[in-house]
Formats: sequence, C-alpha cells, structure tokens
Amino acid sequence: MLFNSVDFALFFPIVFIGYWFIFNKKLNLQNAFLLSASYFFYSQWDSRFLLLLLFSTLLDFYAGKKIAGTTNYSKKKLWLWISIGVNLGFLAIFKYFNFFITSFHDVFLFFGYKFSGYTLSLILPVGISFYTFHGLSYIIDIYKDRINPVNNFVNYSVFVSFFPLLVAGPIERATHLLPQITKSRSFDYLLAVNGLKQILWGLVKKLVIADNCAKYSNLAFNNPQEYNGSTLALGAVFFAFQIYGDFSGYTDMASGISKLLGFKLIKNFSYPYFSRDIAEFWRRWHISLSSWFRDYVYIPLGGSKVSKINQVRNVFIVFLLSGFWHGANSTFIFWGFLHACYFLPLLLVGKNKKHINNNFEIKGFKGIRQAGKIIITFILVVIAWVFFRADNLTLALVYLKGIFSQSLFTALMFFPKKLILTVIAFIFIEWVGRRDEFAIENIGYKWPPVLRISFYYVLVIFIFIYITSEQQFIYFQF
Amino acid sequence: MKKFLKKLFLFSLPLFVVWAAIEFFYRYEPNNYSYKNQIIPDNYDAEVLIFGNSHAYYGLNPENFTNKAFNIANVSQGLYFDELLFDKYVDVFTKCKVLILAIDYFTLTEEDNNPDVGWRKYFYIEQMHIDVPGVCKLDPRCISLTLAPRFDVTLAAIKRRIEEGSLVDSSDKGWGRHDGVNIELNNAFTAMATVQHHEDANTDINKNMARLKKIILGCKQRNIKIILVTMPVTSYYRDNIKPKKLLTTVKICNKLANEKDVYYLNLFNNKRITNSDFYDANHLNACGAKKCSQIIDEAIQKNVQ
Repeated sequence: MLFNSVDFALFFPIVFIGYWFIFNKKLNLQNAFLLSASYFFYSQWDSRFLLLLLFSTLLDFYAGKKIAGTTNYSKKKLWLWISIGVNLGFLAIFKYFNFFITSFHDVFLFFGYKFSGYTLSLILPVGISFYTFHGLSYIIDIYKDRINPVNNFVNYSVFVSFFPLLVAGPIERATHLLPQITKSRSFDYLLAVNGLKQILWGLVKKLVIADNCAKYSNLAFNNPQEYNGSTLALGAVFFAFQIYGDFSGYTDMASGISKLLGFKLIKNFSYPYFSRDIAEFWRRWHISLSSWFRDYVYIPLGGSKVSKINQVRNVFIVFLLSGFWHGANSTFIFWGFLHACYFLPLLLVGKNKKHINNNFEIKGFKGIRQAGKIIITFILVVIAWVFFRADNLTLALVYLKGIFSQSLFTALMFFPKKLILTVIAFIFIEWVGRRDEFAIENIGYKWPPVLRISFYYVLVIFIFIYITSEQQFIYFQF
Repeated sequence: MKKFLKKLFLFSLPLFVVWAAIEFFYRYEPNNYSYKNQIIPDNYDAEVLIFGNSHAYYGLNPENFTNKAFNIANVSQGLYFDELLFDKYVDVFTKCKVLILAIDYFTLTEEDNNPDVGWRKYFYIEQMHIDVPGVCKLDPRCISLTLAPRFDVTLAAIKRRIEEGSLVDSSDKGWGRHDGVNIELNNAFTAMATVQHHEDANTDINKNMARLKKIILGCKQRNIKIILVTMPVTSYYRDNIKPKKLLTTVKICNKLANEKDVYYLNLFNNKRITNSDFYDANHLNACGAKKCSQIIDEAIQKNVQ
C-alpha cells in the first residue's frame, strides 16, 4: 500500500476517524488501534513477514527488560548481543546471504579454487532494514542507560511498527518517539495543517519530480551505450532528482501523516543538494541513517577523538557500512567508498565541520564562490549516484566513460523541456524554503488566503497532470 | 478539529466536483470498451474472430476478409484479457470457424499487473462486463472509474473527445482506424522508446503460455481453426528489438503450429509491408491494415479452409 495510492486514500481516513473520534478517550486503546492499523498496513505488503516483525519486536522488548533488570554486567552484555545477533542475523539471511555466497564463489574462483555454496530464493521483507535499526537503537540505548525500558508491549510495538515509518523510515530513536507514544495526545490544528502541507509537498516531490525524472534516467541507465555523453550526464542528473524526490518525498509524506496523528518525526532531509561540501551533504541527506551510524558505530569506535589514522579508518567503516546497508551489491559498497574518499580530504585538513549553519551567502563574490561549491558538490554526488543506480560496477564505469567522452559536448538526444523547467521551478521553491522543515512550510504565509490557497491548488493540479504510473519508492527495497 | 475538518472539506470540494464530472464522463461518454460491448451482439454471425493487442486492433480490418469477420482486439489487450474474452464470447459466436490471435514480440512476456495497462481491467469489468479474477467488487476503482487510470490518461481522453468529437475509434466491425503516417511517431527515436516500453524485463512466459494453450484447446474442442500471427512492425522498431527474445516467440509459435488446426504466420518482417504502411513505429495505418488483412485472408483461403 503506497502512500500515493487509492488504497491508502481509503485506509488513512478510516484510521484518522478511529484514532481521533472513537479511540481517543484512552491512550492504551488509541495505541492498540494504531498498532492494529500498522500491522494491517504492513500485511498489505506481505502478511507472511508480520511474524518476523512480531518476533523481532518481542525479542527486543524482552531483551530490553532483561538488560535493565539486572546489574550483572555480563548478563547485560549477553542480552545485548543476543538481540544484536538475532536482528542482524535476520538481516544477514534475508538481505545479504546470497551476496556473501556469490562473493565467496567469485573470490575462490579468482584464486583457482571451486566453492560451491547454496543460494536461497528469499524475498526481502519490506522495511526490514528500518525496523531492525529501530530495535537496535532501543536496545543499545537501554544498555547505555540513555533510556528506561518500556513496560507496555503495545507501546513498544507501536514504536517499531508505526505505519508511516515502517517501510522506509525515517529511522526513529527510542529517545525521540517513545515518549510521544506513551504520552496522551490531543489534536493540534496547526500541526495538522502543517502535516497536510508536508504531505502535499511530498506528493509533488514523488509524483511530479521523482516519477517523471525516472522515465528519462531509466532510459539512460538501461542502455548507456545508446546515448551520447551529454544525454548520459542529463540522465544521471535526472536520477539525482529522482532519488531525492522519491526518498525525501516519502519522508515528507510519512512526517505529514504522523503530524495528523499528533506525532513529530525527526528530520530526515535538509535540502542536501544545496550542500557546499560532502560533509555538509551527509548532514543533510538521510539524516536519520547517518546520525544512527554516527551515534552507534562512529562514536563507539572513537569517533574523532582518536589518532588521524584511526579517524580515517572510522570514516571508511561508517561509509562502507552505509553503502552496505542499502543493499547486497558491490555498487552500493563502492558508492559508500567513493563518499568516504570525497570526505577524507575534508577530514584531513579539518574542514569537515566548516558548513554547519544554514546561512548561505547570496551576494557578491562570496555568493559566486558558494554557488561554485554547491555545483562541485552536486557533481561529485551525481557521479557517486551513477554507481548507486547502475546494475553492476562494469555498467557504472561504462556509463561514466560515456559521460566523460567527447560526446559530452554534443547535442542532447532527449530534451524534455517541460520536465527540465519543472525541475528548475522545484529547485527555486526548495531554495526559497531552505530554512524550513520542508520547502512550502511557510511559503505564502503572509499572502492573502485566496493567493495562498490558489498556490496549493496549482500544486495539486501539477500532481494530477504529471502523475505517471504507480511507481514503487526506491527505498522500499532497502 | 471542527475547524480543521471544515477547512479540509472546503479545500477538497472543487476536487470532488472535478471527480464527479470525470466519473460522469467515463460512465456516459461511449468509448471503445462500451462501444465494442454494444456492437458484439450485432456480429454474432462472424466466421472469423480477431483477438490481440493494438497491433491487431489497428492492423486487421474485418472488411478485407472474404468471410464475415469481427475484430475483438483492443489497445494493450494481452493474452490475459484475450483468454477472458474468449471464455465469455467463444460460444456466442456460433458460426466462428477461424480465430486469429496476435502473438507479438512482447506478448508472451507481458505481465498481468503492468501498471500502464492495469487500469484497463476496470473498464473491462464495468463496460464489457468481464469477470476479472482477483478484483474485489468493493475495489474503489470498480466503484469509481475516475480512480482507475492515471490523470494524464483522463486528460488525454477529454482532449480527444473535444478535438475529435468521440472517444470511439472502432468501426462497427471492431477495427481501429489510423490514417496516414505520423512522422512524429514513425521514426527511429520513437521506435527505440516504444521497444523499451515493451521490454518489461520479464522472462517468465509460463503464465501466458498456459493461456495460449487454453485458447488453442478451446478452439480445438469447438472445431475452430486458429491462426497465430506475429504482426508487422517498422524497420525502426525491428532495429531495436532483442533478436533472441523474438526468436523464442517464433520458435514457440512454430512448435504450436505443428499441432493440428494451428497455423502460424510470421509477418514481423514481411516485405510487402513497408514503413509507409505504418501510422507510428508499430501500428499499421488503414493502407497497411488492408495489406496485412489481405495476406492473412489469402492464408485462410489457401490453407485453413
């Protein structure tokens, strides 16, 4: 059930009515209803994997209690590792098993040995990477005494399975979401209106930008040999906007839906394509994942408080893991590796925290310099996206070779004028709203109501005009 | 909450009005589905029945057949719907002697839930009264046809109704007419995009093979001779296909043609039909349809009857 589907358009009003009008008297009932709705939502993808979700939830709930309930350090550690082992074990089996087997096979073959391992024909459970990380953050935070375990199983289950973020995040922290689940909620008019606006913008990103860019990026990536350099470069730029519109659009919808139910989710995107260097890009792109790796991998490894060599090691570990998290394919790992390479010079010269504010110079020489930095960062990101999108490393190299050839300066083989103008308008709106949580949050705030509402209608009309066939969200596969 | 719901209702009201207008348009403006449903009873005495996708719909004109023929093919009508239509109609066309079925480059690999064509099932259900398995009667798209196709499809339909005065391009024998050559669509670049559109990356042909075999068996049981046809396409289209995939289709059809009462005509690269016989990269125009229909009719007269 996609957020932008007819099914969801029927499902959500029922949930909304039940949530605010029928089960609003008692928090326990309201949460139980939310959990039922979440499980129903998940079962629409594949009901068989509900058992896996339930098992993972039960294990972490029990392990959390065990860790908090004992003062014996060894026992605490044992339960921590049981939880981590089982959760990552599921992830390894469903997501990485075949990758490891085929990789071993290739490595052995390279050295002239034969390795015969069985591959499994498994379907990847939707959202497993996301809910596994929810559970892990809960367990680790209890172990580190950052939070107390939850006593109510339903409340904990809502945290793991809350339907807006169940299948593609953002990856919430127990410290942020659990207190909202355990506290009674009342309808907040302003929050709900804000949520509706965010859903609208999410739909624009997904249906207008991502799905339409996908048509052209798919053309280029499916047959890179057929196109000249300039067209391949445009195809790669389209993919950059496709993946941004797709993923951040989903996040906006998830966040907007949560606001309608009285929840505030953590910010997952902050205009990443306006980043002035790669370090800033990673503070703006998929924030919930990068901060997860920062808090649960990078800092425990010593973070930046160790020697330079170990800092470099830590950076590579985090980026490689981040790539690996996206999927069992060497392309994702190389994508992570490439970003680590981009990040390294900034780390070595101590400039990785240079752009931590949102203040952009827009006038004079500084403005031009800043624009140059933004463009260079964007080009680096687009090059890395080629590896992310390509089916394998060879095809990625073929694609890049195609771009960086003499034909880069020849005429485009496709030039969707309307779409390019739409993407430019989209970038403009994002730039205007760059200080807000989402671009249209405060656009039109001071306009007369008629003008403001007309603006929203224009967006709605754009969605309906540009809507293409129902396309899955890219991040569902992770 | 009251304020929120009131404002939401007021904001949504114009959208509901548009929705209702589109619903009225789809329900009351005749289209190829409702029109075919209406003309089928007038053609129950047809001796030749034509099934298949848009290649057959635009490419085979019943008027050019010696025996009375009727074209039941339609745009994006794969074997999935061919089978359902066959089950519904085969016994009411009591005089049917020959069944022509288009098996094109992409027919055997076509997926049932291709999102580009998935919306059409609701029109088959509502306007041709076909019982499509797996679709719940309470599916919102059965209740409201507005929700079935993408909005750009609806907009295109409204535009066409305004410009051409009708959504129906089918003759009273079920044939879709395209006149002349549209140079914007009949060229190498469009052909490349069209072939890519027909590549759904599916290699599983078992489902469609089962449907094809079921139709053949149904014909045999009723003593109806069946002609499998791979319809012609432009050289632009041919240049972009995967030869191996085409070969698989041709091999399968040839194998089926070894059985009794099954004939196979491969017109994919027929020399009598040139690029000027096509409206776009892969659909015949009226002139090409005449040639193609005559080739098949000659085969019927010579081999089948």
